[in-house]
Amino acid sequence: MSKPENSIRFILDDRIISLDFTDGGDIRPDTSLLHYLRITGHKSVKEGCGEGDCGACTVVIAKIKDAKLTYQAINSCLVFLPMIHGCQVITTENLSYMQDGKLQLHPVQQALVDHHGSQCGYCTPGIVMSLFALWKNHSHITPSLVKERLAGNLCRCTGYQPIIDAIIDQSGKARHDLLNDSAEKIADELDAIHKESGDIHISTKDILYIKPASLRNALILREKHPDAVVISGASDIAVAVNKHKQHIDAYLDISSLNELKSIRSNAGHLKLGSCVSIEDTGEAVKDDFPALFEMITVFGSHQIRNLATAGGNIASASPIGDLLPVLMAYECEVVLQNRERKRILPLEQFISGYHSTLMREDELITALALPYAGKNVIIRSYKVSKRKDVDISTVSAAFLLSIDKNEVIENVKLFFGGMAATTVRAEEAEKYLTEKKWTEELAVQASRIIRDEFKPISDARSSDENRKIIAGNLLIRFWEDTAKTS
Amino acid sequence: MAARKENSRSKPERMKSSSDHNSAVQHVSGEANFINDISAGEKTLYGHIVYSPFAAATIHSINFEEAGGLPGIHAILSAKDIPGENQMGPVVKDEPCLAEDEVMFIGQAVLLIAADSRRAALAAERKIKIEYRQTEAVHTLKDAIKKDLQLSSPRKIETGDVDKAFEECDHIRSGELFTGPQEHWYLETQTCLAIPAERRELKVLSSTQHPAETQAIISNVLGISKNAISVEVRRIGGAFGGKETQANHVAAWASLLAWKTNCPVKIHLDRDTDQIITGKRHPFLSYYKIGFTEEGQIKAFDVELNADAGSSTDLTNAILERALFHVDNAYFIPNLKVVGRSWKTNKPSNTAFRGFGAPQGMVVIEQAIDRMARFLGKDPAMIRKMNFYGETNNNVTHYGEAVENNRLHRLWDKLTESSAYNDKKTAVQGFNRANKYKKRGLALTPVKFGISFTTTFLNQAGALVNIYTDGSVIVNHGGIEMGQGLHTKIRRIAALELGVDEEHIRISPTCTDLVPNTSATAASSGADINGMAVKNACSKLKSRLADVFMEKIGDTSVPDKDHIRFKNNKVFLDKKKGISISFEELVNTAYRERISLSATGFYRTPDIHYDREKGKGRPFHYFAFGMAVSMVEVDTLTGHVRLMSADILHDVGDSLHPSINLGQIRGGFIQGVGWCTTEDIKYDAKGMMLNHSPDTYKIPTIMDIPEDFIVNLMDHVPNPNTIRKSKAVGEPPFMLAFSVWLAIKDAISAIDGHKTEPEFSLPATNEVILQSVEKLRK
Repeated sequence: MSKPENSIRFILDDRIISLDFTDGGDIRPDTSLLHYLRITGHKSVKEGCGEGDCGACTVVIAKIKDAKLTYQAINSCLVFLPMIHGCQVITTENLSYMQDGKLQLHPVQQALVDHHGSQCGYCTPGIVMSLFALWKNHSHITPSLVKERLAGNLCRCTGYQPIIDAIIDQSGKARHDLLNDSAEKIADELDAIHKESGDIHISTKDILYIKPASLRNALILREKHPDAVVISGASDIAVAVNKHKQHIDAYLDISSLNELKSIRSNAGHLKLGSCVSIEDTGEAVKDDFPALFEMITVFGSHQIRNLATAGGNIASASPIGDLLPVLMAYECEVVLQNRERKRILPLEQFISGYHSTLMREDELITALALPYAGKNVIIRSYKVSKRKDVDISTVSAAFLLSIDKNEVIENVKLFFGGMAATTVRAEEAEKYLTEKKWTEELAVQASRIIRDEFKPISDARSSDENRKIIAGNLLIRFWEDTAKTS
Repeated sequence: MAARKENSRSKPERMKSSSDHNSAVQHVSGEANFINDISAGEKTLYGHIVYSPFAAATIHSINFEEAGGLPGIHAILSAKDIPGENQMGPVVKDEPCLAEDEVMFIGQAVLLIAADSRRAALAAERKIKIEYRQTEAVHTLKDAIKKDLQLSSPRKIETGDVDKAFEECDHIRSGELFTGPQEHWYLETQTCLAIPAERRELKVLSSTQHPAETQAIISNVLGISKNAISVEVRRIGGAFGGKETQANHVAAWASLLAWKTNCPVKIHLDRDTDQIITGKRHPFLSYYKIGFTEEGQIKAFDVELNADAGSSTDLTNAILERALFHVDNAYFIPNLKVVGRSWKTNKPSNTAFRGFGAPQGMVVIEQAIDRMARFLGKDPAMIRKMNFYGETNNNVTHYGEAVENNRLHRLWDKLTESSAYNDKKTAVQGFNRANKYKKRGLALTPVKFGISFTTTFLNQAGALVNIYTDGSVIVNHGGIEMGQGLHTKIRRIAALELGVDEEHIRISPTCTDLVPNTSATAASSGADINGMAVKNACSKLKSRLADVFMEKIGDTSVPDKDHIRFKNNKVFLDKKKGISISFEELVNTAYRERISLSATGFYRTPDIHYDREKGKGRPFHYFAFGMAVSMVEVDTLTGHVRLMSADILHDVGDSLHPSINLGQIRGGFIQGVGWCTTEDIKYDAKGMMLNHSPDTYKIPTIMDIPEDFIVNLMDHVPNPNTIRKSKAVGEPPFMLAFSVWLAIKDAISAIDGHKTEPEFSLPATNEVILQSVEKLRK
């Protein structure tokens, strides 16, 4: 390993910023990008909630991918500063410019003005940035795409319709903005930062933040600092730190490791690097794993999906982790690695309890392997939440079913999230269903068994009784959905 | 993602050219400053609130000696440090600024900290020792009623003879309805920056809807006169009633800290603190009895409304009163009795929220009619139409005010046609026959909403208009820009009155120095009353300029100055257009002639009065009307609701600004949909609110708007005797969301072919829906 750096570099306001954290001031390695941007005068970036649920702090991150810049909207409240090493950060202030003493707005900004897309204006800069990323990435924009991309931007004034109208008005129109002019230069600069970068090792009086440059180094550091919290997307940890003021002594940030971002298909598996974002996972699984794709469409917001990773979702082993039931239904395997070797565990086995897994102290999750499901297998996923989008599930479920030509059930697996301390199977109901004919009557009978199989909790989202009703009903929903398609 | 029908939106019936929102460019460019974006220099301190963790307790000791000595701590204040009166109740003095020896709700402020940073304040808070002894707390409305904890004496309005009328009805139905709280969820949390100035004066930037009251409360708490306090508001990031009285609290706390430390102090509540310590929309528990004929004519309606006030009065009495005024909604009910009671619970004082009690009152009659219709086996929309207020008779409300310029029948005709109500009805029935687990529902609901503060003296407004020698104009008025587009409307009014382009008009931040003793920007009244005050100021200026014009043209043949027109940046005679002077030149001449180019304006709403004892009068200047048809699909297995369409037609008189009005209608409707569907608050056994962040408190996202969202303004409906014949628009559309709530009920009810009245409450969360479905299926 070459000597590690103790500073980070990124581009903001068209300048390369070099930050080191040694002076112990207000800027620390666990400072959120939101806070940093505000104290450096980017007042357009607002804090609406500090937990990634409102989108008022949305900024766009430009990264190098295949020698080109990609633009992603993210929640700046969920990003620790070292995570933006080697990126360009773009805020609303960066989109417009002065010409001959007059403010020239970006096309998405002008469209919002023309369509009365702002009322109080507090959410507006965040909405501008979500629209900007959408505009950069898509020339053809449909209302359903806008809704999908804007679901993470809460607005309490407008009723949203004029915001949709504004961006739809830009669909298919010529694309040019201020960012185009500097894109090449920015790409070169980011490329240079990457080429020069080795491991980053920031040590302040009470925080150690390590950002290795390669998987090999990451595994060495993992062994050396087994207590360091591993960061892949940080969408959970950042809330704990920034909002709940939890102090974490040591971080191991693997969010930028390209080796963990590959998507490959081989030997009957789709292999996803553990740091592939949920958004990219969605794209990759769209055709072959439709039930996983469905679940991803209701996983957080676009901004969250750009940050969060499937590896992170698995590692946190939350009882309400949206992806766990469906990944289990697809018989997902977890690839774990330490300095010496790799091992592979079925996900169902890997999750050992409430927020606990079989990952060892010297291991990292490096990939997920999804076997392509057989032709006769039906897999569906469901998520029930108070609000359909950008909400944590009350109950989530994934069901696997194979039936013979007489519609008799050969194999059935029923996975539930939100019903116990960890993802669970309704084993009683599975037993009851096996070798019986798959009918509505049977589904209704089994749904009653499911209700009595679990003892869920009552909390801010739902009563226990309601969770039981939903869990049972989802099997009937599954019956109706499969009866219609089969 | 499931393919959804793409949105379509038709143009409003008539579209004037709409200028941009006054701040739109600043909003989108990020230039728009909110208070938290403003710095008062390096000495600015972070203000922090230490609040009660108990719903009811006595305080036995407070020790902050150690905390006060920590680095970065400038002051820790308790009730003992308040130089003036320890009170911030806006109407009734029952709300201490800082708790003294008891606390009444979780979130009640006990101590204030001024620190260098949030980190320092939190470190200090951890060292503070407060000894509480818990006492018995009342968490629910039902418990408060059981214990007879009435906040103030009951209110009653009565017309006809209800008891006698019930004897003559063919049918009577009675029931109860609970409507839940609602968090305002303004994007900008409560914020204040208090800056000490020379001579012990105070400059206060506050995110308040009511600067004059904020000034009054600070004056009271600090024990200094109002003229030493200047409260200024440029813009606020949403309010919806939540900053009508409760912005005063944060302002008073910041001012106390600034006064004590002699440094600027900023308090910007984080989201969770804001949600925990501030009041919500009042939950109501209502009981009703409705009597009607076999045909569906309502003969008698007896209602009891119970409001959960929280721990103190705040605006509860006025909110309850508005609820009483709106239990009739759009219907003529010859025998009606409504009694309203308010109850104390150990929660933050519930407060103003768009609609101000009217939604809670109105929803009861809508629920009762829906129930009647199911019982009679008729279309609820037809029962509604049958009972609408008449245009010439059957048009007097239970409090004795005639419903003038009734638009209900026209709205019905136009909307049932444009929304294809009957086709939708048939399609819904067809769908429900073909589907067992997914059910569709449809509902049409009207709104009639009274415009004016029901506390008559509040219906006044002031303005100050200054013209500069270059012809540019600055307009100051008492209203607050909180996103509703008030400044944009006022700019247009001033431009039209003075006959100059809107570019020449600037609206100043609202400031108590410029226009004193104003009312809150509330009750949808902002443009109505401030617009009139601005018009009044402009008229004075025009009159002075007209004299100058006459003198300048020296044409004595012109009979009087009524023939002088101000238009297109010119001043001219309407019969001799050849003679014209540019506005700028005329202003300059006036200046040289030593004529004042500054005028105040004032307005008081005419002909309104109300006798609270008798429950009779004319509390409203006029009524605003609207109507909506909504269609939903409910998955009866998961409780998920798909809002397929909403067709809205609304009466805004002659629109002051169609785009802004449409924005208010859409936004109000969606906020109402939130209250009716997903915005749910649960409490634990200790009375702690569980949903205090957007993680668990779910307001509508862009995904939750109707797939087909068609909003139109009614055409050709000038409103007599208001500013440019317009109507207020802020609150009325909120209640159009009842169409969504009742469409959900209609869908649930389809499970057993509309034979049984489903159990239902508000909000209709998926949990409420599933429970209702369970009972129907059993």
